[in-house]
Amino acid sequence: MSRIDTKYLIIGNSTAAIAGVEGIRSLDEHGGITLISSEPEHTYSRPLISYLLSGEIDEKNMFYRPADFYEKNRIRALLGSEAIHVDDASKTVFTSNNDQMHFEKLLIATGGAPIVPDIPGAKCDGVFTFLTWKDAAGIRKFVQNRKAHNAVIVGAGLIGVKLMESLLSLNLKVDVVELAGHVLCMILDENAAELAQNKITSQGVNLHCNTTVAQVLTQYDVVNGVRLENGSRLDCDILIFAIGVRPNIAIVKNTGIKTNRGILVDERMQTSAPDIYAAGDVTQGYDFLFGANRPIPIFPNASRQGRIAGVNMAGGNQNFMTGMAMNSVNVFGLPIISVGFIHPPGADCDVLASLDAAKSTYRKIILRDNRIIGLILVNDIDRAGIYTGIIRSKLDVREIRDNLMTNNFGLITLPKEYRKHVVSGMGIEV
Amino acid sequence: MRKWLLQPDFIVERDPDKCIKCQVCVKQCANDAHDFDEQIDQVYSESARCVGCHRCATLCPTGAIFIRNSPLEFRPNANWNAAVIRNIYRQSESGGVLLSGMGNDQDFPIYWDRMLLNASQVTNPSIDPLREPMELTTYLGSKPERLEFDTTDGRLRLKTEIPLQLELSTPIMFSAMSYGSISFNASYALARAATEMGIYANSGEGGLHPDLWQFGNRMIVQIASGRFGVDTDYLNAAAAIEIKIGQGAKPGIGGHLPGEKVDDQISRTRMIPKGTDALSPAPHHDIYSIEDLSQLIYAVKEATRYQKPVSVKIAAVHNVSAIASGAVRAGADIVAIDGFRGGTGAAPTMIRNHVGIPIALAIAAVDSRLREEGIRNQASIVAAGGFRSSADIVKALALGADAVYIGTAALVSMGCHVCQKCYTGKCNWGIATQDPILTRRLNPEVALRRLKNLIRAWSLEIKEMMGGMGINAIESLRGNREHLRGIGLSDREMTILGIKPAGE
Amino acid sequence: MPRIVAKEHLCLGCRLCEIYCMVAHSRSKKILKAYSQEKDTLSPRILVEDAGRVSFAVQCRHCENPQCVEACISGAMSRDPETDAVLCDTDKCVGCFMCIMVCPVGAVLRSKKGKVVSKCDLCVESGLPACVENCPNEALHYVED
Repeated sequence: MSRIDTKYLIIGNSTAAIAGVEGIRSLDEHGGITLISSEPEHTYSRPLISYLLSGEIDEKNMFYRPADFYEKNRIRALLGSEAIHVDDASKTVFTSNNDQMHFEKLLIATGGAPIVPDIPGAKCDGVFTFLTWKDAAGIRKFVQNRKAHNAVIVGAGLIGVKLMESLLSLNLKVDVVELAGHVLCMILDENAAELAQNKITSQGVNLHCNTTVAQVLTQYDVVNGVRLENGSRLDCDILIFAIGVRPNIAIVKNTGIKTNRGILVDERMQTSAPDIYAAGDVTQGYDFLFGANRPIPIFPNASRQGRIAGVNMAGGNQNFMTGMAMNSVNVFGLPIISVGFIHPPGADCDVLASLDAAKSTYRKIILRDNRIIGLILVNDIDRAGIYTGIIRSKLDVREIRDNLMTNNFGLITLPKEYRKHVVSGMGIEV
Repeated sequence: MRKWLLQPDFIVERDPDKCIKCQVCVKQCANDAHDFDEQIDQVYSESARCVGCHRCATLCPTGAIFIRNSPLEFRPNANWNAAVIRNIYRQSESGGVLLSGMGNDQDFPIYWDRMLLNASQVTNPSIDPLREPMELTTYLGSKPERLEFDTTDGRLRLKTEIPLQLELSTPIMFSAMSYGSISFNASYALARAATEMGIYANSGEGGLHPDLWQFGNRMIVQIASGRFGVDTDYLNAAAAIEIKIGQGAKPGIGGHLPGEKVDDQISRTRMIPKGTDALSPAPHHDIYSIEDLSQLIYAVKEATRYQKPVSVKIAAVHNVSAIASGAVRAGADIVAIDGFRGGTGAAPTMIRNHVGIPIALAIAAVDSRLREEGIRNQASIVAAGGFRSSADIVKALALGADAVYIGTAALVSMGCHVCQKCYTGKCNWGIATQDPILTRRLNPEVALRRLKNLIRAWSLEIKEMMGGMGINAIESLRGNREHLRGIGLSDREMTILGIKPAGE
Repeated sequence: MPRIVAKEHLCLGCRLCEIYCMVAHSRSKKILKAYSQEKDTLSPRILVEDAGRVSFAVQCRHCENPQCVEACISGAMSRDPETDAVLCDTDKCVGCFMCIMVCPVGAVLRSKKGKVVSKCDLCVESGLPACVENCPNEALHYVED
């Protein structure tokens, strides 16, 4: 048991935590930073675990920052050490080794924990979730040792879709079970999902939508099948839950730090406790399109929140007012981008859409009050960021409405003042 | 009906191994001489449309394009050469007056190429311009008969009042090119280059655009027969006023800017309705005698409170000395003479090529005549009309000019390739056009840089030649015909020029 | 922040900047060789937007708070401490296109060389950016603030 005093304490080692460190160092070169993470690895990119599993990248490309990152930023990194409780009153964090860490400013970036449904039989060997490097390594090892043939993925969301690719490249037969009516239901509408599904099934993946796993079947305490809600049975040598994550808020249970589904933060990333900040998948921050706080477990969100939290912890004053859902995913080579709303949230909205099934191309823009609040692009993703910039800047698009769907949509179709700022001025912050 | 007699003047040659089908040539040619055929994936050219401006060849990233004179050759005929034959074809198909831009392109003698300069040896040592001061500063204006000094209380003071002078850092000015015949960017670059180099630019007969008034004290504005843009503000904004009686490219006729080139800006600057042809009449309809000219000169002086020198510009024609003498006696402070090689935006080809005389002969004739009449000091002589190099300028000064105007040379400096199609308004280099897609091709900063470089380079060369002759001030060069020798000239020509033959 | 600024009123829409950019980033660095042998992998990092009367070149603004760096899942996008340019390490890039999703200028393009992205690197390795040097009307300027 030891006592550690530190100016800045960061719980976490992934996107939000690293962005937090960089945010702090942008204003405070010397203040002591201690970072604690339950995982032992040097900071790595979580989204890359599917690329690692498929063999597309090798281990050295997993790392999110260069090898000397901690050293260069003068961080005392306690990797493989788990923080289990935050006491906001005494400004102390307790670890699993019984260490007590006293801080001046704290950043909680514990991320999300994978959702594991309570299904009969699911507590056996061969059942995995897919969040960490360890998970990817474990899956690969299990598949090898078991000489697995059949894989079942529960959930056809972002994680599930990437997992399909990885498992196919491991020469497994892949079945996917999805509760909703189509894949990627959180980020795609029916038209876009159909294009994605065509691609997925053309690769040999079996999709089972509108159903769920009712029971996990085992033999010798190892999974060997699943029974679906609709009665059918699927062979299964390995079962992976890819339903999603929920904010990992256990660490602030029974404290004064307010939570809902996630840790509630204001636009400065501060929690209800002074000097305690949170960022990333663990938070429930302001979604300006929704007009309310909700978890947005998205990479660029975590990154921005982390940086803003870090800057504010070091005495700066920055806000994050443009949090929103945004995703870019490659489905077997078909690029898809989704930002904001995927369905019009009210009757006062306009939808512009164009679908070319033969070319697997789709473009959909949702407008409310002459502002873009939603975007889906399939295949034709060039210059997508311009739309994102328009959404964030809340630009009134009534003058250029007719140009939004053209093939050569670009800065040239935007009002000159907006364009001048972007083309000739400083890089813009939205 | 198709005009069968018209054949291309140029052939566009494209090296297929080098063409990368980037289509820059297609996009850049204002005459649509290139096009891209998607089906056969090839760029091809319509040679008949090529005017020989080299825009495509210059921009081609692989140097795949060559422009050659049309190889369609006629049987050799010293009298009926290709040019005259083609002119007849054009007129037979169009029934119109042949038009051309730029200056006389015919094979008349070039006197600059038949005069040689001296260099010092032994007795009068040459001067190194990099080591010794070289005075190029030139003053244009009426000079007094004599200087009177006051020597009371032991100090020397000048009593004579010196009339107004224009001060030039070097004896070169930018010739009259109207805004309308050239683009705004070109006018701007000329005005600003003149300002930054300490010389003057002539606004031409198109008035002075409001954005150029900032350079007013380095501008000479023109009053031409059309009186475009003329009011008291215009006169007072400038450093000097020039009454344009004639122009070397088209003596005897007035300027012409087609209505298509008269947009909002031109309309406002020239003070004429948008879209109307800007036609300057042949004579000034209030000048029918030398006395009328004198009246206008003094009206201008009154309007500008005698604060600005007045120049009279005439074309070099047969009795140019008499006209010049008359202009000086009428009160002109500067006489500008424009020789037959002078450029223009548009002139009837026959007039451009066959009317007027070479500037070299005109300078010599006018200088000699004014000296004979004892009035040489009353006005400066500025010569114009096809000066192509600093050597031409030195020779002109030696013949008697105080300074020169350069027009074509300044345009070439900005990118002109002398294709002579200025009158079409499709200048690919953004100079002789008002089409906004074309005018943006002349980056005024780049044009400015090039003009300044040209003036600087030529001034350095003039200093080198002067140093070589053993003189260190422009006054020692001016009218000093001893520094010139003729080569391949007849006795009569040498008499008119007032120079000895090489060898004597 | 160093970056290249386009002067809209001087752009001719000729697209020579795209060509010279591609050649500068090709293997052979020679235009004829690049066009004949590398045609399938030539990717410009600059894009000319052209609407007839108006045109200009768009490339990475090397922003002060680059959104592409923020969104990059692999850490391939980063700011080079020496030159201040925002660079993409194509060995690390996995082609997720998050950067394309967030770049407000639309300056990140899909490369023809596999899944990765194509983005202006200010020609940090070769000196004056190829597009700036070769624009026939000097419409592109390299500025450092």
